[in-house]
Amino acid sequence: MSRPVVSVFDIESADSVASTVTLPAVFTAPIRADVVHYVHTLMAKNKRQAYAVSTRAGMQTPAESWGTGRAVARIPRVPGGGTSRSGQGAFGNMCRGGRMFGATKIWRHWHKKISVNQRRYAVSSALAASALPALVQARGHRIDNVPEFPLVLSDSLNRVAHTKDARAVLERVGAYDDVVKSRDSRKIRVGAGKSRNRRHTQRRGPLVVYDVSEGMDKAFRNLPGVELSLVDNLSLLDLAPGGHLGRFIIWTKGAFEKLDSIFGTYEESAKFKTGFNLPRAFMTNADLTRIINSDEVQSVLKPQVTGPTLVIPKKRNPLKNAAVRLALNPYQAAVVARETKKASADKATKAKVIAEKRQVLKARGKEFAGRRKAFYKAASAEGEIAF
Amino acid sequence: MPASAELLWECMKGNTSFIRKSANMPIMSREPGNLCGKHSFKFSGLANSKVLDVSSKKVGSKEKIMLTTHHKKGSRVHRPGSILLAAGLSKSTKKGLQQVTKATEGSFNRRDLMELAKIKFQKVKTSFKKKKLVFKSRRATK
Repeated sequence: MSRPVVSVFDIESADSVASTVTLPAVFTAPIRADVVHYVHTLMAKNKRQAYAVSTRAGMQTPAESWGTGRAVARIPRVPGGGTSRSGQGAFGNMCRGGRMFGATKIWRHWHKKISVNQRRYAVSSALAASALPALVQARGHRIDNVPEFPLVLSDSLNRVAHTKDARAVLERVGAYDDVVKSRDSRKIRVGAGKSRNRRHTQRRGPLVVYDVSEGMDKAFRNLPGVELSLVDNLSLLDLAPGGHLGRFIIWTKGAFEKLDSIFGTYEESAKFKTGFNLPRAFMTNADLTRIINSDEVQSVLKPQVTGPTLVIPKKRNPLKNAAVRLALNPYQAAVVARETKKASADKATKAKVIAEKRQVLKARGKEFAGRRKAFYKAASAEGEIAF
Repeated sequence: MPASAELLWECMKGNTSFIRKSANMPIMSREPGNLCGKHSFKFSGLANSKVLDVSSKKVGSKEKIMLTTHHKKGSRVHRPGSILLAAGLSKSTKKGLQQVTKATEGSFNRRDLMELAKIKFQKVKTSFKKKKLVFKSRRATK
């Protein structure tokens, strides 16, 4: 597998590339978020300090139960007299001043063992993920101005001795945005931790990995969020904080080049991790879209079945829908024809009858109008009406 | 070695720094390159090798409509600054929609998002209209 080449940037300017290095094989290791998450949850427990309540808590009384017959609950009670404590319930988790249920013990299994190979698998995955800007950006690092991933700076970084020079280097290389993010995120912790020596929380910034420090660890350590690590002891807790892949890592050239001997390649085992070989992926090509759309797969696929073969039409009510009724009952046509005919025949006769009636009424109306006129004429000829 | 989109999505689907959750809403994401702002593989601007987004951008006093796509070169995946390319879109509806069509169907880039991109273009455009609020002074005579 030919590995791409990574530019090594001069710390004076991000534009000038000092040299190039072949990408170490670790960065091509399979990215296994599940392994990283599993190993991280176990690893994170290894720095725990035991806590427990006192073994004697709540048990420092010679309390005994009064038994039955005394009209009181059977809980052990404090013996003696002369004090309000006497006769009070003791020992039980429900009693005031009693010991708690399931008292916490110091012999709880605080630290978790993880097999060495699993730990190394997780670290390889985390390193591989740190080379992908998508994952680093998703984790929340501000990397828009970083020229290349993975970010490798020349070995002159080892000699940076003052914090203001360190800051200048990060600014030139586009990594200072992440430091700013960390600085601005410093807040007082929510919860009781603030009064338990964990007063502040802030985001994690870039991780600077080096192989030899000639003063640079002291220069970088005061920058907010910046963490330092020797390439020999890279910890998953730094590479995948919170179990989330994609820490922003800044490498020195020496550290970067050392990775091949620390983790090995796919051709040779690791020199400094006995018996360790880089994990291999289950699928060499995990690009499902490309696989599905490839000629090899597409050429042996059956033709696509388009649409349903059975189409159930929408139900139409024959009592309301004339066309459907006709399809179900062909005689309906004759019935309808007969009725329309009758209706039109009826209509014709009806019209005739009405017309005749109208004629009669008209004639009568005329006759009455005539009679009215005649009466009026006669009456007006008689003269004025006087009573 | 660039990881496939599916692999990246598997790493990111649980949690990213861009996720924003609220009650009764689908999980939203504010990563650059996400057309609908929805946290899903289809719309992800980080996981996908092909990306399409229409968004507004304010440059000085001017508001622009930008079309964001993924760089064609695979090597650019390792340069955070140049993974996504933003090009301006014409603000006139006819031209702008033509440009959207050209960028999707014309270059076979996320044709599945074309219709949504066009709808978003319209929405971005209407968002530029500012409603002038007229305040009537109480001191003015009625």
